[in-house]
Order: sequence, then structure tokens, then C-alpha cells
Amino acid sequence: MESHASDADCLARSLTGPRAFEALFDRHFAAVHRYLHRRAGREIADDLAAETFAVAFERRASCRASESILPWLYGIATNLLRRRRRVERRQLTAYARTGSNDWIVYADDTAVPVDESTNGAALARALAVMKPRERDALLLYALAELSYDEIATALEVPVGTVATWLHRAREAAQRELATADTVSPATTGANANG
Amino acid sequence: MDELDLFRDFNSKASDPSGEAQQRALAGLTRAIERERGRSETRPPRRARRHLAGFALAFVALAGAGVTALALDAPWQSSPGFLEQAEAALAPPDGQILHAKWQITRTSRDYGCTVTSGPSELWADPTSHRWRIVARDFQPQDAGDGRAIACHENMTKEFGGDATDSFEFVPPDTLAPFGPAQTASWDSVDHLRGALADGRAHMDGRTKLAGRTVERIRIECQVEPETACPGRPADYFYVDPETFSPVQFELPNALHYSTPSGLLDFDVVGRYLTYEYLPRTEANLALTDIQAQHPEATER
Repeated sequence: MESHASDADCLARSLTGPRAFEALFDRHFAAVHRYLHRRAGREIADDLAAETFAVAFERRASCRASESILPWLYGIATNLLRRRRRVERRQLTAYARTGSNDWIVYADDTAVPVDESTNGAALARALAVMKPRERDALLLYALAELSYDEIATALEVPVGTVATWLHRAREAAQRELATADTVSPATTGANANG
Repeated sequence: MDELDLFRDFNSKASDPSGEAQQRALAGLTRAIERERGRSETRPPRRARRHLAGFALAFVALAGAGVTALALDAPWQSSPGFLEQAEAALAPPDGQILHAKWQITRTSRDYGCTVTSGPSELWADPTSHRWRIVARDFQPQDAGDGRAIACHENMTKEFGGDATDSFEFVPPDTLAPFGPAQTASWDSVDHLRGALADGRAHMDGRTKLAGRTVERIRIECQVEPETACPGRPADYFYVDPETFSPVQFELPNALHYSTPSGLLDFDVVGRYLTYEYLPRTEANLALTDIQAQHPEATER
């Protein structure tokens, strides 16, 4: 029965029957974990995905979602990730330098710990030089596939601010990708801000 | 292709969460749920309670003859120790009956309308967990669309119960079951007590309300870590600087109603008219008992 109820229904029901919140966990845990895993590795994702749902449960009365609560959950996860920002930046910098993102655990056990996307290291370098909020906005857009409005909701900022952050993120990406062809990942480090 | 879209493939081969991680996370959530359910045996969760029944919040001490109002007679200075003294002063006295009366003004964040209602009135016995409330700030959830609900004049309803059962009095002569068991803590001063106990209350300076000097206390976000609630406004309580009696509270974005068109959010200001403890007499105990108040009513 829960599977037919909307997120908003489950959320409202959980205010008087807290166990109704478990349906939202079943529905969204994997997505939140995957977002965190892609940003900071599985170990941090294991911790923060769990904490995201504990915090969300405590805060559920303040959630304004009328449909999916996933943007709201991504916002909590992103806020929690700020405490691990230095770890995330260190990982991005190492990936940019070595071309190896060995903090990621791959679905395919036989896969080598190297991202097969052609621009993996350059993307990591671009992420590492961005300001943290720009990186947050970009990865909510690209990894979590949120719209501008949903990012604004998740980060509790005006949508115009999101547009500005994504514009700056795009500029940073253009700069770093332009140098990707001329600079070897193994010989450069990221000039990180975050 | 937009450069931003290139990032869609970033670390895209990351594995799904392990079963063990999922089980561990679910166990953590279950513990949080059980903690709340445990709390609800003695105190309904604040926001959930408002969601259930309008709200029943609390009040100012107007000590009268024959009543105990916070049991304070020595003025204290606004200085280090004020919050500790407030915490001690606000502790409910043993064996007495809380009587509170308050007025609520709520402003819809969605539609901008403001409705003032009250006074609502509460009688509660912390010893037996029996309570009764006449809530004149009850919002109907079936008044129509979001605006109609948000801006509707408040209704009066009467509820009562103990730690086991709770009822709504439905005129003329019915006691209908009312949700899960509720207890005596429709007392919104519990919000201040909790914040004082766990260090989330901070002195915010003296000010005047309706010509009266009061101490403003800021209550920070209830959720740890603080980073989990960026931008969430603080709540405020105003207390008498000498007796610590609660005078008023402000709860921005604190009340949420679920409607078919989504949640409605409200800013809430509550003004205490009475906040006092009554002697434990038969007559006062009867005030906490909805069945005693409606002896002819039958339980549905």
C-alpha cells in the first residue's frame, strides 16, 4: 500500500505514525547513497546516507515537498557532506593528479579503479578548483539530476543564486577542460579552493 | 554539449550501497523512530502535535490568590546564571495541576493572511498524565483549498485523555477516539525547557512587549548537527526578567498543515494569558478529566 502513496502522503502520515517514514527510506536510500558515493567514496556515503535519513526523520515536519522529497534529501546530504569537504577536495586533487579515483568502489569487481570517462581527471580538477557551493550546485545538477528550482530548494537559496553558481561552475569547467589536452593529469595538481 | 552535462558521467560506475550499509542505516532510522515513540509516551512531538490539532501552546503567569505561579519571589539579575535560574524556575512543581490560557496569532507563509484566536485553555496533571484542552485555535483541514484552510477562522474543539487513551468531545454527547494517546505536554513551555536543558537557549537581550520589560531568549535549531538546518529561523521566548514567567513566544515557520495541495506553513506568535499551577484538589483534578466534564457523554 505504501508503494502507491506519494512522498508527501508518506511524510504527512509519518507525523502521526513515524514508521510511515520507513517507506521513504526504502524508496530513496539507494539514490542518496549513490550521490554521496560518487562525490566522496563509499565509506563516507555509508555514514552520511544513514545520517541523512536520521536527520530527515527529525526534520520531517519542516519539509515542504508537495511531490518527491528527494531534492530535500539531497540538500540534507549535501549539507552533511560539508563537514567532509576537505576529504572530498583531497580526493579530487589526487584524482586530478594521478588519473585514479580509487576511493570509488565499482559495481563490477573486475573494473580497475580508473574512471573510463575520457575526461575524468580533468573533471576532477575542475571540481577541485570550484568554490564549494558552486561544486554543490553543479553536482546536484549533474549527479542528482535536479532542476535549477530543485537545487534552490535543496540548498535553500534563490534560484538566481543557483544560476550564478552554475554559470561560474561552467566557466571553471571550460577553463580546466581547455587545458586537459595540453597538460597531463599526472603532472599537474589542482589549485583547490574548497 | 554543455560543459555541465559532462559531469553526468563523473564516477558513474560507483556501486550501489551494500546490503550491510543499508541494514545499518535502517537500524539507525529505526532507533530514531523508537526514540520518538518513546518520547511520545510522555510528550507528543512538538510539530506533530500541532499538525494533529491546531496547537495547544502555553502562556503567561498571572499569579492569583491561591495559586502557585512558578514559585518565585526573589528577583534575579540579568547576568550569568540567568538561564540556569530560568530552568530551575520553570520546572513544574510536584503534584500540582497546570492551568494555562493563551492566544495564538498565525500568519500564513503561503497566502499572507493572519488569524488571531483564543484563548485556548489547558489543564494538565503531570502526575497522572491526564489532560484536557479546549482548543480555540483548531484549523479545519476540510475547509476547501489551501487558501481557505490557511485563512479560515479557527474552530473550537475539546480534547482530553491520558497516557493510554485520548478523546475528542463531539457535541452533544459523544467522546470520540482521538488519534494516538496524548499526554500532559500540550504545554509549549516544554519547548523552552528542552532548549534550556540541552544548551540551545541563549539570552538575546531585554526588550519591551506591550510596555512590559521582558527577557528575550533565542532557541536554536533542534537538530544536530547545526549544518543540517541552514537558514532555519530560530524560535524566541520572552520571559519576565524577574520571575521567569513565560510572556510570549514566536515560532517562525513552525506550523505545518498537510492539505491536498501540499503543506501549508505558518509563522506563529503565542501570547500567554495565564500560566499557573493549581492545588491538587478534587475540583482541579476534575478539570483535567474530559469524562468528568461530560458525564453524560458516551464513548464511541
